[in-house]
Amino acid sequence: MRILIVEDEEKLRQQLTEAMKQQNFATDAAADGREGLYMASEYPYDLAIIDLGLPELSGIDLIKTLREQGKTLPILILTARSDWQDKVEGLEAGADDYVVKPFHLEEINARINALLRRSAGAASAIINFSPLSLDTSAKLASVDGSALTLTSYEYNTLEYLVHNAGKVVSKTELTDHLYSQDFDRDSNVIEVFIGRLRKKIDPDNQLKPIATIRGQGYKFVLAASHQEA
Amino acid sequence: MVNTLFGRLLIASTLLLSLFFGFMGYIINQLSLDNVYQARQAQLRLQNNMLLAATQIGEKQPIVDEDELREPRFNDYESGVYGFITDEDNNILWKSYSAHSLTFEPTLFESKKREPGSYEYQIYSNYFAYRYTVRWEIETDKPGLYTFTVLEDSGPILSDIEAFQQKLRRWLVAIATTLVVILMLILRLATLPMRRLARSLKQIEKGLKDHIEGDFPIELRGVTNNLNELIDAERNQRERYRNTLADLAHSLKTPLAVIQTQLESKQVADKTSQQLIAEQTRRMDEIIKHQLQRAVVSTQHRLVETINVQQCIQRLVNAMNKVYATKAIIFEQQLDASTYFKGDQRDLMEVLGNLLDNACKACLKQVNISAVNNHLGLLITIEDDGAGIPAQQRQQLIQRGQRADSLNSGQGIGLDVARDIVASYQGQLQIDDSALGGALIDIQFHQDN
Repeated sequence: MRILIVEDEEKLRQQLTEAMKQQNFATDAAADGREGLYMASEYPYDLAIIDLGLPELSGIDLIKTLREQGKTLPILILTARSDWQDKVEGLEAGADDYVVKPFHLEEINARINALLRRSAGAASAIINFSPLSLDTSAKLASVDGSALTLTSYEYNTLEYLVHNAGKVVSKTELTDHLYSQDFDRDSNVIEVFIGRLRKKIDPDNQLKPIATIRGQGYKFVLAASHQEA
Repeated sequence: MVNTLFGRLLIASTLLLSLFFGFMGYIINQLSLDNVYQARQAQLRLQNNMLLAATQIGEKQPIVDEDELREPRFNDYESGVYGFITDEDNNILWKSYSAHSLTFEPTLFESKKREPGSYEYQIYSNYFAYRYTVRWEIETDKPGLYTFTVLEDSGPILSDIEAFQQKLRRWLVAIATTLVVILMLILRLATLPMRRLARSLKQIEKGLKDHIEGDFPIELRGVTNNLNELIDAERNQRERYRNTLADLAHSLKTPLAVIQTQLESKQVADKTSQQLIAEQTRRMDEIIKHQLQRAVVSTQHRLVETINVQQCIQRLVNAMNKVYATKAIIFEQQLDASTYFKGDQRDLMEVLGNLLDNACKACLKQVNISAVNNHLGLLITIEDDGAGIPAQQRQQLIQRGQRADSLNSGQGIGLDVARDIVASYQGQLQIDDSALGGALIDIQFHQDN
């Protein structure tokens, strides 16, 4: 999952970027509204964290512009203004949730996970594709109750495919959502991740959760069984 | 009425006109009476002279040749004009035919001036009297004083005078009333712009208008322009305060966020110090939040706006639906589109936002909202199907002066801010049990409906 952080306070921007990277999100950061708008318009982010008090272009205007451009990514606003008029204006502009400064990182993480789940249409943190199960909150995958040992990139690849279950996801799309802007990309790496995932999830090659669609990409083919709270 | 400009002018004008017309009536009455009395005196003197001319010196007393009397009423029976000749002892020596059957008080003939050639004119209750005294020598060397008196019935004249006085009174009252009415019409016309100004101010107070509008006379234009500027200045100042406080919040809270994130993201060896700094950061944040909210709460609500409560609640419900999307809360609203709040939109939004946020956090599935304009102003009720607020905590939560940092975060802070705002509108906030099973919060705003 790829996240954009738009925050003018350098230290806070760095801290948030660091915290998001620790959560295995591919993270880009912008220091003002204009840069944020440029990046959000150019790259396919899965979520944006936007501070309302931004220089150049205010957070509200940035969100409105993104929505006018047809961007549907979930947006979490950071605000120092804790009055409801401002929160409501932010939400009416197109944001999906808010966090008031100062915040706890756990709160940010919880809100981001909830927003990502909602955007994928999942109601809870645990998604079941029996026998495969994915805990998006703990970032854990398990088969028949046994936890799989996945690297962060492997997990992110699986989670992205799961969130887009039934749809063909191209290698480019996967790359765009797995790596941040300044990362040196190599599309062959995706093939390696997919190969490793297949071996770890389905060592006997009976389940076949990820299908290769020739010339197009990959598709997660298991049907969701039921979801637990 | 007495306290209105129009009422005062009406009372003052009525008093002044009453005094003026009363005084004028008195003078006119006195002048006309003098005129009538002088005319009577001239008439009686003439009749007295006629009597004198028809009188001759007899052997023992003056003798009147009645055929020579030029005034025929002396010879008409009870004609109203009576002639008399009396001697020094007031004995009647002669009286006219008109007075034959009548009795007269002796005082009517008593002359106080017993000088020859002197005359007296007196007005009695029933008669006008004119007396003229002469010295005639009827017997040789025995001159005597004889008084010629003419009396006239004053009845008909007094009736005429009374009729005139009544007419005069009626006319004066009619003129005074007409003048008061005309004066009132002029006053109403002259004070029309002032009443329009007062009406405009009332509408601004009620929140029905933003500014004083309309074409006012030159004398009032300065006042209306200044008032409009004052209203704008007050609104701008309020907005400036808010922006300044918001900037202050941003400046203070971003460093706090940096400290907090740093504490959480790095391993600090000294756990006690970490906890202490984290705790103090939280306290600082809550104090800033609380004090900023208190500062933003308006204390003056004279220049208010009329806010549609339904629109405000709908915006908040939309926001809550986004924030608490995973809870899929059922919001049941009981209010009609005409329900209104007189005050600052931010204040209403803040009260409802905090209370709805608390209800959404606490509820299982349902939040009910109702609002109605009652005789006191506006009553809003918010209830949820959560665990409710224990009875022993309710009083503490709605008690004024409770410091934010002494309350628990969440329910406490939100209620604290809502309570302060409601109190600034002389309103009350009450906590009760809801039929849904959770908490019920009643907010009564006091406003002139």
